[in-house]
Amino acid sequence: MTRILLVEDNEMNRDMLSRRLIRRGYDIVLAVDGEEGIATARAEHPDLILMDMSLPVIDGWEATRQLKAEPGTCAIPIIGLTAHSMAGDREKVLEAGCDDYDTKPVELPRLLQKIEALLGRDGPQQ
Amino acid sequence: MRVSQRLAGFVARVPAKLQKKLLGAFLVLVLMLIALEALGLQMLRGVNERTEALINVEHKIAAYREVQHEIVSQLYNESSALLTSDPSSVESALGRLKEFGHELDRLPPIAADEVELLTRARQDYDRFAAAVTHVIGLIREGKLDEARAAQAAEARPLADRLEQLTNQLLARAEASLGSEIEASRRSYDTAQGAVIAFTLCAILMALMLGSTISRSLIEPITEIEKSLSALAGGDFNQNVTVLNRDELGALADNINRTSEQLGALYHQVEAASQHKSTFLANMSHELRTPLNAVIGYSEMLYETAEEEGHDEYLPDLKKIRAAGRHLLELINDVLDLSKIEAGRMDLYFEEVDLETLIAEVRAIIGPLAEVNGNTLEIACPPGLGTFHTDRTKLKQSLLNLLSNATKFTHGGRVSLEIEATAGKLAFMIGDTGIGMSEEQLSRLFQAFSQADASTTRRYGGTGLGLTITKHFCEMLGGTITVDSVPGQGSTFTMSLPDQRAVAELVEEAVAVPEPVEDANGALVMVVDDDPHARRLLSATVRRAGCRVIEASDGPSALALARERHPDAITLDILMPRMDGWAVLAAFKSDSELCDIPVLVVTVLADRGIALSLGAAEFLTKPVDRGRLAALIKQHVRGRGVVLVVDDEEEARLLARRHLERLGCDVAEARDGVEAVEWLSDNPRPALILLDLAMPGMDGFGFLEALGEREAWRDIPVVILTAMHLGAVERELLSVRAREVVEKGADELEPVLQRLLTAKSGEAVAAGCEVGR
Repeated sequence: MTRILLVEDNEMNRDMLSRRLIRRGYDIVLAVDGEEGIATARAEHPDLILMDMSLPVIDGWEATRQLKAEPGTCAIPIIGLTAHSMAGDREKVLEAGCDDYDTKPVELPRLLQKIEALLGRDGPQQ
Repeated sequence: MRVSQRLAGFVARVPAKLQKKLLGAFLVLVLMLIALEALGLQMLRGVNERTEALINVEHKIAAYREVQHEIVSQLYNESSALLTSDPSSVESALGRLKEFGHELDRLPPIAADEVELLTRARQDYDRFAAAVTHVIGLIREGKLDEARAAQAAEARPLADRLEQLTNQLLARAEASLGSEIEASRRSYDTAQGAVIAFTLCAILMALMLGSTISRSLIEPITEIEKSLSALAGGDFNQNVTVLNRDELGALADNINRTSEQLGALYHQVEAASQHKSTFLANMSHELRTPLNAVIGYSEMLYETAEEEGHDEYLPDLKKIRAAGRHLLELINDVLDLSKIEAGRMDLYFEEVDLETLIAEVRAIIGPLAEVNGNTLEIACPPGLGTFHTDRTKLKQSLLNLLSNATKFTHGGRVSLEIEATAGKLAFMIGDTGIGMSEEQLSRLFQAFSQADASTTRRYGGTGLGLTITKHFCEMLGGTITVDSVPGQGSTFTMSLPDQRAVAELVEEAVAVPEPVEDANGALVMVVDDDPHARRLLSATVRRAGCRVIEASDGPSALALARERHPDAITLDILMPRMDGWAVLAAFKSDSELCDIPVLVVTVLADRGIALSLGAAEFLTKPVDRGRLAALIKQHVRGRGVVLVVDDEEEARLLARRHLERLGCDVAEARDGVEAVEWLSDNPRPALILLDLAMPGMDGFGFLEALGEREAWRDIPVVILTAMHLGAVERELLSVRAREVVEKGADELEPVLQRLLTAKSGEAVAAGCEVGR
């Protein structure tokens, strides 16, 4: 089963997105801030990470940079999630090292497409 | 200088009103005039007294001469009486004797040392009279011999003594006449000297008073002017210190207070604006978080309901979701618009694969079109390849326009057509929908104004989409236009330049500067916070044959303008910190900068504001480059070009520095041949700076060539040479150089200044020895 790490500080968003993804057949691991996200990614080696960019402790930008700088985690595709697509967020997200990005609230079909595209490209699907 | 400064300071500190100070100064001047008058009158009286004394002496001399004359005639009368014994002549002699006595009495006032002489004369005269009376008595009695003896013994010696005495008196009087004349001349000289000295003193004092008073007024006014100018330029840390304790002092205090208040207000406004931005960002975040939940859970519920077959809930859940999405769109649009208007919307240019982009757009719009039973037709020529622009903003614009088209069309056709021309793409978004009237078209791109208020209710949407799209197009250097017929449909045409083509164009203009053109051109300052816009404008300006300096914000523009004094300025309005209106106002209130024509170049449409604030022209972005070039050419002030002809680069550089400081444009030539070529290809320069020793055609040769052409003959030439000029060279130069001045490089500027301000045709040439 494909394992996805969802790093999201907002409880409702976390609950909602994880439940919807589980319903679609993914195995979901949760983290509530950047620090925990990094630790979980190192420990669990998920197939993909959904990273909210505004996080407490360590924000999504920094967490992404750290994960992409580490040999152990740099191969894990990361989709950055931002509140709003305008004003260069997309560019900043990609510059920070994310492989793709999406805006919240997510449109699930679109997000699923992106997830599948990244998994098809970078990782073997289980 | 020091003294007058201190005096001015003293006057400034006097706690009296300006009117009183001025009246005081005039009073002092009036007093000086009165004193001058009094002195003059005094002098005149002295001169008058001297003249009277002179007349007195002259009278005296006349009287003495009369006395002498009388004595002689008395003796003569006696003698004739003795000879003829005629009683009548005897009687007449006696009569004369009485009259003679009166002559002496009638003498004018006499000096002390003359009194004694005169007393003696009187005594002698009395005796002489007695002797004469005695002689006459004897004659009457007929004793002629006795009378003759008495005449010889008494009257004649007395007459001799009297003559001596009067001679002495006469000599004295004449001597005093001389001294009186001398004294009179001296007193005139003294009077003249005194009047001149006093007048000079009065003039000096008047000048000093004038300069002190004016200085005590002008200095604070200058200070205040400087301060106000800085204040207008947005520097609120003004503290004018003036010594004055009059109205000017009060004015300075008020300016300081105003400055302080304005500064505080500005900080408040800035803080408020900052708060607003933060608030907006926070609020949008705070609004989005629960909205996310609403949308997300409604979608989840929808999915669950669908899976579990509760179809009756589906329409309501869909409505909740749609309302949530709409609210989200509104929030996003408001945030975008506020970012655009605050100048905080960044651009990110990249290679955009058009086919991918169109596919994405089709994927989003296709389902939307179907909702209203529309067909979506996309006509995209094959092999469009990539296009250099901001992907997000292009996509957003296309989505906005296409979703509008699907929204206002039912059972019709929505189309996207792409047309590629050199360096440009045109996107035409057409529909067969409800269309718009002229009146609706006029308000189309304004925020929160859909065609009419009912539209929002019927068709949804935020009413901000078109406003944002228009802003995006303009930020991308493009335009958007619309054609519409009510009831038949609308076509929006979005024309965007390929940013790479633009960049190449700029690179081209930057990479291939035409050196002579460049050095010749007027200096234009381009003020824009967006580096792309700046490069575009700069390229246009360079193509118009001008040199460019750039500034990215208001304060640096002001500083740069003060330093370089450009001939024209292009000014953007939407800039962070100090916006273009404030910059324009600052330029126009600065006495040094207010003459520079300012061309406002902006996405805004406030032509009226721009012109009323003193802008020379108003252009909306994207700029019609031909028009901008034409306007720049029209507005730059022709201060003239100076041609520097010298084979040494350093010398040319030195001359250029001097000339540019004087606000001239400089063209360079390395020898006579190049200079002649330049002259043939360019309009007449204001002045030529010429070196003498050069390879190829030297200075003398060039002067000859200059003389051969009628049109060039009267161009003023300054000879710049390190050579010591011999008589022969000077002779040669004097044909064209009427004035040879040998100077060091530091004194070149005054010569240039003089020649450049002289009318053309007054060809004066100066030979300057330039230190190399």
